Amino acid sequence: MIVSQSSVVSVTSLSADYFVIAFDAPQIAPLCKPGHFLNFRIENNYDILLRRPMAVFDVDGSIVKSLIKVVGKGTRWLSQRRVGDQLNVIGPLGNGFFDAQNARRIFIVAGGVGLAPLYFYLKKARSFSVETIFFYGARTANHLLFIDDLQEFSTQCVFITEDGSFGEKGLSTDILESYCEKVNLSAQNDIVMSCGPNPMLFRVAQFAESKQIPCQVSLESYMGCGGGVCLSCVIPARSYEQDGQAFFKLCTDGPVIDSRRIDMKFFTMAH
Amino acid sequence: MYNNDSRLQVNKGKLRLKNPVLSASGTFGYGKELESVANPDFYGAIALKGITVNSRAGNTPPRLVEVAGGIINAIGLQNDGVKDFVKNKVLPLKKYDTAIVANINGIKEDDYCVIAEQLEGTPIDYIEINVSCPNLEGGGVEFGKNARSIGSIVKKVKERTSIPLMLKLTPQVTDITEMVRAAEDNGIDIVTLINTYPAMAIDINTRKPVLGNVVGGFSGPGVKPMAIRLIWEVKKVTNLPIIGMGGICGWQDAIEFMLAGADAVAVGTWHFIDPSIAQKINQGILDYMNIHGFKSVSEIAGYTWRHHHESKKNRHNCCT
Repeated sequence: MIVSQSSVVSVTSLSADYFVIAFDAPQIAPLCKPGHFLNFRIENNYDILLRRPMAVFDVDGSIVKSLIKVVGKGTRWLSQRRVGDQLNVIGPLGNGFFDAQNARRIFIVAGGVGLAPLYFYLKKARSFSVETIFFYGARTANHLLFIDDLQEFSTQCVFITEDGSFGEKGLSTDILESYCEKVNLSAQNDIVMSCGPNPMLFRVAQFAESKQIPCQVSLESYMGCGGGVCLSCVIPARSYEQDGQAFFKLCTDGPVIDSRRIDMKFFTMAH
Repeated sequence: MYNNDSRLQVNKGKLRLKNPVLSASGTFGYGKELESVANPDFYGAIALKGITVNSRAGNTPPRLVEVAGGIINAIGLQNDGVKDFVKNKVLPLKKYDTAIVANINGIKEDDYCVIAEQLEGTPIDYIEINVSCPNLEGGGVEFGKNARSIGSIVKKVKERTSIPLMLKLTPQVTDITEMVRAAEDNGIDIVTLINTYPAMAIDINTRKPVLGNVVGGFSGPGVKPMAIRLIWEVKKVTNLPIIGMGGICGWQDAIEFMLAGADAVAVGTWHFIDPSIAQKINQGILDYMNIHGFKSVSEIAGYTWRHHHESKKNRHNCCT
């Protein structure tokens, strides 16, 4: 965990209110692993108080990038930064995706802005010999980002839009399930990784469990400190006996958690 | 190191600190979590996460929501109980050059005694009796709103421990001075104020309360003026050491609390935004002292309070 005062290198607007903010953080960059997150200070006034946690999207030398969707005041403030502005960032935080180098095949399911940590994972996964099937769902073609990169990085990439404007029409979970009907799944060789809206994660986790395949999900929740202190961002554990705790701290135990350890009620709770 | 500058030392009654900056309970864990970015050595004391007799799972999430001027939290005192605290959490703190405050909570009056007894002989320097947690059903703040309960708890705990006692007060009372008097009459050593204000937020899209616990405690810069006023009120009735808190976001806020009557200050919510705030406050206080000609923090503590009341007295004499 490092506090960095970093210069903004670029802010790139993308379609559908998405943007990528890149900043120079030579101390943070080498420590970043896929699934880690950064905690951005929003320095405007007391209207936006807490830091905003965002997944690491990419690392390029000393440059760290986050892919963000403008959804409120904090993300809007970040989208309005200019080259040379100073950003106060704490990172990298949390535990990333667990080691899956022994897997033969990884099914990666990204929904919306959930692409961010999985893009980084996919990019890194090229260095180990594993088959990557990337399912990327969004509302419309306009909401699909980095299509060329994803096709290049993955063994196979399936795009899904809710309105059918690009790729398959429907929900990524439906497409995942129908795809998997045609292949032989194995608990030893296959693994699922997912990030996206909770209803999607719920179905992905249910599906993986029904097929007895390990599944890692990257979650989000209201966060206070980002460092395991305030116990605000907790999510319920499925088994107190197994985990020795009723809740996981998403900031330090997560944000990536084995879906079999999560109380599935979490996915239907209000956030 | 400026955190150890002798001009920052606090020596008032039982309150003896190397500098006047504390962490507020619940915002600094058990000291080690933020160690890499917030060294406990920078603090005069660190107040640890609140403990109860038995372990508590805490409230149903969501437990925190940001609102204008602050946050509302309803953590629900998630902790592993006093036995685990003594066994696993306290000893590692000995390595730090700071005083350690254990924040103790109860649903029954006796709970406070049970915890205090178990803290005897540990490296705990102060016990903070928390009668102001809004997230503890049945106990907590209910005790803090009743002068008789406060007196009774302080008296009982005092009989069972030799560790100096702090009392953490709630702002949700008609007359806070009654609570302070009751505590002082029964032997409290130090008062700390304020805890959070009961508050609530509703999600207008789901039309449901945001917090799993429905209500929580409001903290952050929005509560500061109200906290300052309560320090001012408390100062009127006691000469006990006062630790002031409520929305401190920088050294200027810390100075304001001290001018109102606080001998030391605690940072809570702002740890989440700037975990390295303690050293900045200590540095800011020293700079302020240099500019304004104060030789020690004790000269700042209660300065405005004293001068206001002296000038009032003089005006009164002049008219008669």
